[in-house]
Amino acid sequence: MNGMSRDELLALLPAYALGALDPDEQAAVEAWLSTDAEAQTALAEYQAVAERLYVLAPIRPAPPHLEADLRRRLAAGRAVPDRRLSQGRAGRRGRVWLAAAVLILVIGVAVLSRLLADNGSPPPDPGAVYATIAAQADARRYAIEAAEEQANLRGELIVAASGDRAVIRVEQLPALPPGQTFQLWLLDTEGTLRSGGIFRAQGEATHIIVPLDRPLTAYQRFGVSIEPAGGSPYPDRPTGPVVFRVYVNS
Amino acid sequence: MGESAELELLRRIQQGDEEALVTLHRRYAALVYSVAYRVLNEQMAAEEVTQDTFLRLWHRAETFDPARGAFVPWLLTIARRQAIDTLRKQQRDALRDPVFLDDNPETWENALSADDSQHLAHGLLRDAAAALPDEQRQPIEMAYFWGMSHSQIAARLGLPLGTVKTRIRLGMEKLRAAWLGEKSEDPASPS
Repeated sequence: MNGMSRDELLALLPAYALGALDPDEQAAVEAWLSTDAEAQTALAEYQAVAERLYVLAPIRPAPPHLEADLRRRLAAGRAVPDRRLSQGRAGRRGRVWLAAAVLILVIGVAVLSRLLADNGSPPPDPGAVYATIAAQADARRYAIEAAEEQANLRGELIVAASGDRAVIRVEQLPALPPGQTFQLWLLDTEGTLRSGGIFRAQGEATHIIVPLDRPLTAYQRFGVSIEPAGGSPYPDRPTGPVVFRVYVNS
Repeated sequence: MGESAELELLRRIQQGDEEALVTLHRRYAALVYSVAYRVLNEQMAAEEVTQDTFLRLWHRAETFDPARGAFVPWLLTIARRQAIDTLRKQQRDALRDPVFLDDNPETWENALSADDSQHLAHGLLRDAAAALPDEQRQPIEMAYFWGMSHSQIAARLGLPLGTVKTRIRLGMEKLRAAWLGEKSEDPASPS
């Protein structure tokens, strides 16, 4: 019994059921369990408890937009479930290579453009960039989805046909007290979230340039949250409530 | 929704019926989201885990085996593990703004339908957990929601390992007794 008495091993069963043992103790308990029917019964009882400890989590209503989001994701990956898994993996691998190739190309073009154009000029005016893209007949538009508490909010994301420039135009952003700011977030298809910068509401409509560093297909959605002045203390997650989202690939 | 209804929905999901998945999502998204939020303590990440859990169900519905247990614990185990994986990937401090058991009047036995076969037992378990002393409930929650071993818990709480082991054992014994409908033998337990 690995130096442990039966009573000592029995005392470890609750933690074993919780998955809280360190590896050496776990191995000792598993070796003993196979030889002790009474212990197996006790373990089954502890496991029945351990797998229902979700009752300790406060119940929260699921955000209402999740159902529409699920339908969107199903539509995006529509196929027969059993076959989809294997085909999906192969297809995903192909898409990764394609995305990588496109990414290299886009970065190359972006670096070249920056080298040619960066002469200390001021940053582009988001409203002007929006107007330029909106004038393109083949620009792509995505409606924003306001959080439940922001019923009056409306707007859109507009993306240049080339896919390398995107601007959000939004009206009726809530007034923020001093010490708070809006922050843009970009969620990619790998599930990684990064900040797209902080901004303040401007007049009738606010324009926000989305800093794409990859093709639009590499992103799931963008979102805006309310954060303390200076932005979220974390580079990879918001801390405040979400104001709106824009889905681009889910 | 009883187990037979869930089995029928899972059968339909395996045949590619999206509405069956949406029906399960409508029924259980709040429970999945609540568990994910409890682990991650952050809205966007909890939403992602919720959706990923249901998409996993979409792809792998056939892996549920009713002979090995009930549907809800199975689903919420997937959600919890996925949330703990996310927490580890983000290398976040699990104890940031910890939220231990609150006095939210919405309870699991209410959230689960009355025809759920374990409706009453969920209530008993919840009551027993609420009656646990903080010193026993806290290490149990740290193990369950954040996947911490008892030596990690001891280090985090600054307690001797033996103390943490004892507290987990005493707490789990009381929960087990409640689950089995027994009176706890721990003299420290409330009457």
